[in-house]
Amino acid sequence: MIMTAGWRKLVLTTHLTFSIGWVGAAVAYLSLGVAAVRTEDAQMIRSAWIGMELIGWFVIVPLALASFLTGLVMALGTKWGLFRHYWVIFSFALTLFATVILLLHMPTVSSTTDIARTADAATLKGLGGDLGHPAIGLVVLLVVQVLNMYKPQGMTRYGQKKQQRPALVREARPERGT
Amino acid sequence: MTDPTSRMDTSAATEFQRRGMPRWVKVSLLVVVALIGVFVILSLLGVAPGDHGPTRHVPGGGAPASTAPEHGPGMHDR
Repeated sequence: MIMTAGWRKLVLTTHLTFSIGWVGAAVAYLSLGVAAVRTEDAQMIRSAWIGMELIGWFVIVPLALASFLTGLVMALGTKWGLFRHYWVIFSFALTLFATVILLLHMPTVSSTTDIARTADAATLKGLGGDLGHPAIGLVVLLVVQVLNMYKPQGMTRYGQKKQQRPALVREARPERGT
Repeated sequence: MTDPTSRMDTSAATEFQRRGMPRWVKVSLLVVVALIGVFVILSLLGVAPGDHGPTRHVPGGGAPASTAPEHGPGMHDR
């Protein structure tokens, strides 16, 4: 079902807000991860892990889920569809990948934070930070952003069939009338 | 980058689209397959960044139940 122009603008605004928020929150998370890696201060490492857990569960996870769902609504509710254009499929797959890895990674962050809460200075320094996941996640999110902005050409076979069908119906109608 | 279809008429543009998978899709798929391959090889060799084995994200991680916590010190980047 194609959305009306009003609904489309509302959902698009919501989707952009969640998606850009996700990128911003991932940058904030990464900054804490870098701080935990670079500092020698045990209290800073403890605070960084507590901050990462809070940002992860209460900001990044909700934004990721909201961005994924509103993106799905945008695809299904507009002419772009979900499986008609390659860029939409790539965007959808990358967002799904980032969301799944995030959801699988967050319990690990929580268990490390639990250790950080009570650990002594030596153990805290051994914890390090969390750089790989947020860094790769940011790259994935930026690729999705570029895809969504530039919309590179290329229609799937399914999309081509869908595009041809209305044209065939239009051509067939005058014949029926005669 | 210029759009190669911009100078074509509608039928030519449609024909251009019907050629099949665009080059950027093929290149992207190759990159994805290569990255997965590198990741799998590094995991099998045990040199994946941050000790990042394929079962790390699975609850229990395939590790014995006695290895608690699941994500011990030193497993993250330093």
